[in-house]
Amino acid sequence: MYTFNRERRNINPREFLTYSVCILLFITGVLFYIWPYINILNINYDFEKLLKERAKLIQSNKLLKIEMASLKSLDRVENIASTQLGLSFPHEGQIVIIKE
Amino acid sequence: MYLGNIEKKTKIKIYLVLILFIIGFGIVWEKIYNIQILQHGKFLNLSNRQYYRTLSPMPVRGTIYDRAGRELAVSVEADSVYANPFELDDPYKTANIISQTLKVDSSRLIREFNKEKGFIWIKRKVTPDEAEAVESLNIKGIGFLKEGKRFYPKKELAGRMIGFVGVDNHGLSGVEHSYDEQLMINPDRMVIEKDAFGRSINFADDYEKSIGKGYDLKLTIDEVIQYITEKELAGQVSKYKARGGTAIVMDPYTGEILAMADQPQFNPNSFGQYKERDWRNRGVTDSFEPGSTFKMILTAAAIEEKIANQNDIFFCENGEYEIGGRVIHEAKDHKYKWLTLKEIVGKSSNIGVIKVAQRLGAKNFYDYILKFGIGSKTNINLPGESAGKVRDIKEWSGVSLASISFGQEVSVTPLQLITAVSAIANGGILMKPYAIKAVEKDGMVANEFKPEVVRRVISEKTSRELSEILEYTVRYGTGQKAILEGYDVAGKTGTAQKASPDKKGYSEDKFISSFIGYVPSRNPRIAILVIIDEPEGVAWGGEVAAPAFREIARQSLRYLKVPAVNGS
Repeated sequence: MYTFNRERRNINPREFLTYSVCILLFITGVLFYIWPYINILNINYDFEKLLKERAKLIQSNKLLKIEMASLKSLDRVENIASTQLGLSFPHEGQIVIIKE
Repeated sequence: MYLGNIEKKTKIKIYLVLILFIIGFGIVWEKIYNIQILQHGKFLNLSNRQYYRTLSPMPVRGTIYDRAGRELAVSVEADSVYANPFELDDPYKTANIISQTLKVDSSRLIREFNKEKGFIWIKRKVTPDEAEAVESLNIKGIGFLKEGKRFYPKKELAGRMIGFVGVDNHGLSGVEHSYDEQLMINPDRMVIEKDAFGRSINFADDYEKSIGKGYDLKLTIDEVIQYITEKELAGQVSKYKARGGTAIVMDPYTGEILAMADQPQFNPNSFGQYKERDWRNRGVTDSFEPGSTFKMILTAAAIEEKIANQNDIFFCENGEYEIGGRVIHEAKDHKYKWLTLKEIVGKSSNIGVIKVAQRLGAKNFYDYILKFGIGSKTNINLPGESAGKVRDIKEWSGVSLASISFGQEVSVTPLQLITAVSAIANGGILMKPYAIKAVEKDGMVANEFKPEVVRRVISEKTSRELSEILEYTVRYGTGQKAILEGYDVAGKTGTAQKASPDKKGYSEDKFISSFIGYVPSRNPRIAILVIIDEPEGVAWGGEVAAPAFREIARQSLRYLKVPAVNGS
């Protein structure tokens, strides 16, 4: 049977402070090192979300453009002009095209 | 290890622990060796599959514009609904719900769900509303894939010329087919990193570049002129209860097609509802016997070869002329005696042109027919072009010269005819017709098509003299219904009997009525051809087709801001 002689060690407060500061500095350094990467990761997540949103907006923009092009179809415009607005084509002589 | 002061029993225990540690580490090292060295490739792949995702961006088909940049064909992404039957909790219930939401046959779905397949399409390219409705059902085993969907916002406008795409987004007809490779470019695959939850991170910087957008096409057609042409053609086809019709408007100096219309119309948004024959762009693909409009070619050749001028007179045999055992009559049984060349064309005398042709000679006439591009493809950038048919001179019979002089025994495409007449209009130069103005990428021109001269066919002097004859034809001859207030019109009527169904001779009651001309006759801005197929009642080109020509010309000149030239 054997016993260990445990010796109580008195820690110098100054020494403790030094160690604490070192550890703190180390942790801060690690955090500073990691922080931009975490930030980049979060930005990438946001970027991807925005890309998806942008793709949706582009899609709806395209659909609106198609609708606009469809609404501007000349047969539709002519039909509205003649039936709803009471417009008619000018007769011969009502338009004089000037030579440029 | 020094363990001199420790008891033997304790020593054994320590050694045991040590051995256990060694064995443990040995196992770990063996595993590491196995993973890192022996099976390195396999685990690297597994790791990559976990952290990287390969995307195949959907190819986006380019847009088709008219010459002014107005959209004629546009692509958008659309959701296609699929099912993984193995993941469905209740296939019967799902089939019923989905069939109601997407309006598809539920029995088909049940049949498909019962097959041992992990993937089946339920409905492709659904509308945004349908996609939203299916998404809101939140059914396990039902998913979406993005696909390109083609829209033609102007519906029937230039439908046959533009063509359409199939379910796989590849062009099946029209410019959609002939320019499929440019419009549709398959993008490269891209690899993106993902996290443990499968979310994408470090999205590729060149994401924009990776989207496979095809080239855009700018056509030579003008939406407004196309609309005018289609409207007037439709009106005339309907008025005469005709089988169909074709009209082409061309810039005679450049060969640009400004409009190419067909009746009946074709809406590429719902191509499946049409018969295959209605997909054809008949102005390019179909040929017909031109009838009297072909007299222009003969007259041009005769003047160019100095065989005759517009005031030379020919005896027209009192309306009956036997040649090679066949008796030729005039239209409407007219009985002409002496007519000048101008009058022959103006009154469209068959016997008169035979006399001119005989003086010109078969060889000369044949050469000019070929010079005007009849019998060979124009090589326009549209699919399915026909070359028409001109028989080799060696195969001509005793009546061939006579028949061909008034447009029988020869077949031309509408495009060939308008190109030939444009050569008369522009001073004698045959231009190569074209329908695509430019291929563009992101608004920048990648490939521009410019006017291309094929050859000079007749001199400017001949062109001027022929224009005078054609003006006379409209003012005093058969083409009076093409008279346009304020402008001098040069043109020629045509009424051709169609071949009889038994291929023996010609039909007595089926005609092709046509009118071709250009306006203003001096320095013309547009050449127009109108063809009406099998009109009922009246068949004469001057009655049936000329009014459509006049209306297309009147509205197009107003749109193009061409000032009136004759002040009337």
